[in-house]
Amino acid sequence: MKTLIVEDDYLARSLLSTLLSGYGECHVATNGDEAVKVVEKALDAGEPFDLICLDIMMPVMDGQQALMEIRKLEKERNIPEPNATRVIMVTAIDDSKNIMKAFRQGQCEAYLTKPIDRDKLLEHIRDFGLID
Amino acid sequence: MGTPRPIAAEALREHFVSVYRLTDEQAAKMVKSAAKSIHNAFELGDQALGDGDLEMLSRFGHNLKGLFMNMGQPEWAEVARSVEQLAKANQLDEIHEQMQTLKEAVEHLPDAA
Repeated sequence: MKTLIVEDDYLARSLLSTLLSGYGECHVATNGDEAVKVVEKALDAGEPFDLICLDIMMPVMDGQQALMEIRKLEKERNIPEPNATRVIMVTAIDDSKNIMKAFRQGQCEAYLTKPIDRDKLLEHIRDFGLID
Repeated sequence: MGTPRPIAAEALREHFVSVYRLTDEQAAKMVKSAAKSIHNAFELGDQALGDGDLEMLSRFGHNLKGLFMNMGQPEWAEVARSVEQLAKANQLDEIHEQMQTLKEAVEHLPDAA
């Protein structure tokens, strides 16, 4: 499983990388703009990410905007929905407005609230069929 | 509710071991990561407070709230949340007080100050 962790907070990045590194390679980005560039590069190399853990509130470009840009990149390359990267939005527990927005737009598959829950994280990834 | 107790490095290490089932080595790394995150957060917060930048202070409160949640510190996360709310309500004087309180949270964590 190839994962991209997009987080501006160092601890959250470290924690997610540590929890997921046993399941494959983990890459990190510190804001949405950086993430979009990394995703584009991976798509062009024919090595797309299987999973993106995407924080919502970040500097430069937030997670909502990054998610739209990433879906746009996939659409431009005619990537069918079943093959699209699975995206888990990560945000603060009282940020339901942002989570609903991401779901309404039909662009993310799951969400996690902080504190990050190890079991829920792995459950989502199992549901996506990315790990056993 | 009174002020929560300062966060101890050992309690933090135990949190990462028990909640995230990390090894001792991984947990020690997380304690260092937490200290680095806190240092970065307060650097942003102090600058925002000095500039009277309420938008940045709101972001600081939001970031610190998530950080404390991941550190297993919901009471301190609540104090950070109050900073986020105070910033949205333009209450700069109260934020000065809360900032001092928040610094007490991390005074026992190595390298966080």
